[in-house]
Amino acid sequence: MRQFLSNKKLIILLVSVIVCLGLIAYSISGNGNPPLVQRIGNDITATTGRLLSRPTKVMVNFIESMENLKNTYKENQLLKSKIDGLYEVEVELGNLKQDNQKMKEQLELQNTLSDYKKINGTVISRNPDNWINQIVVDRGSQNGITVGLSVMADNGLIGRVIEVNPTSSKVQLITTSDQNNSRVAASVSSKDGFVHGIINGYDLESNRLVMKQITTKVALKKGDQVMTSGLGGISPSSLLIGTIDEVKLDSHGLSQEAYVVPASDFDDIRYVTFIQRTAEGGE
Amino acid sequence: MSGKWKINIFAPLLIFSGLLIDGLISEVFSKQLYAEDGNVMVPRLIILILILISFYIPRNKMITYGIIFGFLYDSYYVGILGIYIAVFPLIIYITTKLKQVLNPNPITIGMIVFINLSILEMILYWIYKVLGFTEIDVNAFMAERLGPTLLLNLVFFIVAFYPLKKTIIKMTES
Repeated sequence: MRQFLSNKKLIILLVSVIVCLGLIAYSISGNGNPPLVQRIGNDITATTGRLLSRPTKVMVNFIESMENLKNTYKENQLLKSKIDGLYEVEVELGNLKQDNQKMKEQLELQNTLSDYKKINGTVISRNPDNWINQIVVDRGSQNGITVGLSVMADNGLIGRVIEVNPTSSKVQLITTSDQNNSRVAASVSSKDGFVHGIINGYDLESNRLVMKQITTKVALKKGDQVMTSGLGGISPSSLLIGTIDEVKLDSHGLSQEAYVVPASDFDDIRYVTFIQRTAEGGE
Repeated sequence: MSGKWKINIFAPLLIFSGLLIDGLISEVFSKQLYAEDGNVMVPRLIILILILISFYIPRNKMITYGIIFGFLYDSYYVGILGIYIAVFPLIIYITTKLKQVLNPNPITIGMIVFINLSILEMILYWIYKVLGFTEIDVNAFMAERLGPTLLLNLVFFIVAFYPLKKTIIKMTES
């Protein structure tokens, strides 16, 4: 025993393994508000990262706009043909909005699940080792970000905030295979009304999200749109997630599983929008 | 004395910029790095820089740097402390051990980078598997992650080795 203890290297190894495991356990059980040292470190890194990422972004945008110039003519033609239909939709939408407002007043509804505030942010960097899909965004608790907010990219939901520092925050994408953080309460509007389920998991091979626990009583079809239902307590309702690609029974045969093609591109995220719902959460 | 003063400021700055550039590369080129049919290439400039610098700086000081920047990496990118904070010092330790038996020329240094990267990716895979962030098996990991990552970092090594070495030598000499 004495000889064992006198082996200095072994002791150092043992102590450091124990310390590291302790640190892992500590930070996994954390609630998204890291201790002061970590917050300061993160913010200093984020600030310097911003200095680097801004010029890079300008350059990338420039190159991209050059590429876009090539397709401009074709796109213009397509858009022109679409724009005629748009005016009609706009008028209809205006009418519907007015109707909706009046009805809400009659019902004395204050905040429905679909009301939300938006905060825009720019992505500074992404976790290089891609085991946990995370991005760092340049908005923090000073801008009103709190843990758990839903985050949208250009078209659809991409994830939620898991850690907040004063001037930066970390967003975990829903592609992460993390049982605790990547679940989203979702619903599909089919012709039989709303069908609820849970987005849980990501199929790496086909790059599709998996929506589970859908009742077998309804038949969903390819092309149906999947939205957040707002019943998870944090996110507002009717944020687009994606469109259904394939529906099948799950391995137990008790419920249906739908494979959803995400609406936003998870590999090209540069600007994000934090969604803060105005209705009080249940959590 | 003045030379030491220079490298003492330069080394942490270089490691820090490596850390930031890794994140930047993976943000800007995420389409090319991560989207191609499940293959994942992880940019690891920081490892290259750590290994190169540990040829010129005494071991204990390097291990301190490893712990500091491991902490920063964990806290800034991963959000789980205790992963890179353990792996970075280990890599520096292995490098200094290998340095004593190998004759340092570009090819052996390239081999050291390769060995270290393989060890690093294996440890990370094991940790994330235990923590439940991944479900892929060892074969898929080897084919889809380890191989492409090594390839990408080989390119980094070829491109960045001489400029990095030159600047580090300059900073240690004058």
